[in-house]
Amino acid sequence: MMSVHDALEAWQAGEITSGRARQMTGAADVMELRAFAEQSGLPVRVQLLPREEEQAACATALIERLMENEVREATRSPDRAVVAE
Amino acid sequence: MTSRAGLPIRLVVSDSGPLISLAACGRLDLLLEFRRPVHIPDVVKAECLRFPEKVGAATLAQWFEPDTCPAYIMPTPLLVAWQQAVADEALNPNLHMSVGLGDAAIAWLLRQIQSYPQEQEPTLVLTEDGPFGDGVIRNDFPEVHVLSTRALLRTLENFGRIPSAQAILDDIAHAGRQLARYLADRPGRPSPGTKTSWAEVLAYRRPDPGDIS
Repeated sequence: MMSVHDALEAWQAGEITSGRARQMTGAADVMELRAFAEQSGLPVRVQLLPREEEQAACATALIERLMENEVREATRSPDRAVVAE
Repeated sequence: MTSRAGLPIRLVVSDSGPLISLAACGRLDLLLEFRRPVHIPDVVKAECLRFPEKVGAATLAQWFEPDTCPAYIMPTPLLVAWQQAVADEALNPNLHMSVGLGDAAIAWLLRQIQSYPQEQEPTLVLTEDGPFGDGVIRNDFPEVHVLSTRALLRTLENFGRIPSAQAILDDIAHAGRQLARYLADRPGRPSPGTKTSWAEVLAYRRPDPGDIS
């Protein structure tokens, strides 16, 4: 059980997701959530938390691997690359 | 986990907006959930009752009955100025001299409370007025907790005290009242390293009508 302030604080601390915070505050979207946080005296952090940085790094690595695979596939079968174009 | 502990608020001061909204949906009883005395400046009461035909006014007139009103009506020196302004506006509808006097009455009351040791009287202002909450109170009364009607209702839902904040917001809208999008639940900072909080009481039993006084 959390007050609106506690929910916004927990969101900023990375303890609950933005979806859960929206549910607990009635914010229509993340932009409104940010406005509510500002009005509730909670500065919105712009830096990633260590866990979020880790997730971002994983996602980046995955995207890079997929792109490398595509290039490799295209090199192996030039016909497919033409079709893809 | 972030620490949520705070200095419990001891009294609530209400602006006219939340009173009109809660009256519009017939839920003035929700003020009891604070389990704290609710103070209403005389000008705010007068504003609520000024136009008897407006949304919530009849309910508020009944609620403000002196013998049964569960809130404290606080006299301020601004009531005379407000009455004069209203009289002038009746003669000339282009004048808007009464605008802002309710906020001024709240500010006057908060200034009186400031003269007490602040740790003894942590105060919450219930308002729907963003410029007042984010301007005047944030700048001049940083020790005061600001809570909007929307934040009150959402928190009551989060604590299971009402089934749905949205249903109440819908009732307010259906009654013809346009509620501001303003949402704030901003703790006051009575002294360095402290902050106010108000919602802990919601985790306990339901309030009795006598709890408010």
